[in-house]
Amino acid sequence: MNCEEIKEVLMTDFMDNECSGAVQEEVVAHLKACGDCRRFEQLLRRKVWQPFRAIKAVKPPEEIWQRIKGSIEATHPPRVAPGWGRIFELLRRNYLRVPMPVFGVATVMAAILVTVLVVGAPVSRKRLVKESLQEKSEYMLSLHHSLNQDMNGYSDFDTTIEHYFF
Amino acid sequence: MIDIPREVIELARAGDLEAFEQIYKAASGFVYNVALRITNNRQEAEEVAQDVFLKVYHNLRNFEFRSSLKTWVYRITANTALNAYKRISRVRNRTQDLESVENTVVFSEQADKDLIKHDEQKTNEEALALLLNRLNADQRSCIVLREIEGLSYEEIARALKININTVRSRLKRAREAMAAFSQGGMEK
Repeated sequence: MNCEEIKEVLMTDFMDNECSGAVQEEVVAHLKACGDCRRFEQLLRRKVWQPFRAIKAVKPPEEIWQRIKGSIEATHPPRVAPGWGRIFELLRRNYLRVPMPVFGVATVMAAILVTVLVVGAPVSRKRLVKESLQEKSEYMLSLHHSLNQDMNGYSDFDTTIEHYFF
Repeated sequence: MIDIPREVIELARAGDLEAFEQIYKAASGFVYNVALRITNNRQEAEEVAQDVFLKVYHNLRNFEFRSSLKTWVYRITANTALNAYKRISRVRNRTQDLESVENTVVFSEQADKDLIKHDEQKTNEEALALLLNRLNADQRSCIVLREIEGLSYEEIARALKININTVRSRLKRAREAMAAFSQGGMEK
C-alpha cells in the first residue's frame, strides 16, 4: 500500500479495529518507516479519536421515563395483574390464540343460561302452581254451581235410601 | 447497550409496564446519548428518547425476534434522531434569510476556531459539539454510533440500512472533515 492508501485505512478500519491481521501488520510496518504517515496517525488520534474519549456518557433525566410511563398509562391502562394473573395473561396471549369475539359471545351465552336457570326456574314453577290452583278452584266452583242448579226444585228425594242419608 | 432477556421482552409485549421499564433502563443510556450527540440539543434529545421508547412500546407486539432487540432499537434511535436533526436544520434555515445565514456561517466558523484556540477554557463537550457541527447528518449518525456506542461496521450498516462500504466511506469523510477543521483551528 502507498501512503494515500495507508491514510485511508488509518481513518477507517485501523482506527476502528476492523482490519484483518495482515493489513494491520502492513500498516504498523509502514508507520515505523514513514514519518508523514506517522504524524497523520498521531493527528487523527489527538484530534479525531481523543475528543470522543474525553467526554462522559450523560445520564438521561428521570423525567423522560415519567413522561413515557404517563403517556402509556393514558393510552393503555395497565392490563396485566401481578403474580399468577401475569403468568396466565402471558400464556393466554402467546399460546391460547382464540379470537376475542369468541370469548365475548361465550360469556354472554353463559350469562343468559345462568340467569334462566337461577332466576327463571322458580318463576316458572310458581306460575305453574298458580295456574294449577286456579284451574282446580274454577273446577270446584263449577261443580258447586252445577250442583246448585241440579238441586233447584228438589226439596226431597222420595227414596228410602235418600231419606236415610239426607 | 446491554442484552435484554427474551422473557422480559415477552412480558413487555404482553403489556407489562414493569418489564418495559427494564427495557428502558437497559437502552435509555444509549438512546439518550446518541440522540444528544446527533441533535446537539438536550431538549431535543429528551424528545427523541421519549419518542423512541413510545415507538418501541407500541410496535413491540409486532417484534418477531428475527433480529435482536438491540439492532431494532439502534435503527429506531438513529432514524428518529436523524429526523429530529433534519427538522431542526430546516427550521433554522427557514428562519434566516440568505445574507444572515452567510454572516452567521462566517461569524460562527471564526468563533469556533477562536474557541478551539482557547481549548483550555472550553469543556470537552463543547469541543466535541464543534467538531460534530462540521459533519452532515449521514456522517454524524455514523460517527456517533461508532464512537459513542462502539458499534461495529456491521451493526451500523444494519441500524442505518446501508452497506458496510457506505459506512466505511462516511466514517472516512467524517474524520477527514474533523481533522481538517482541527488543523485549521490550530494553525490560526
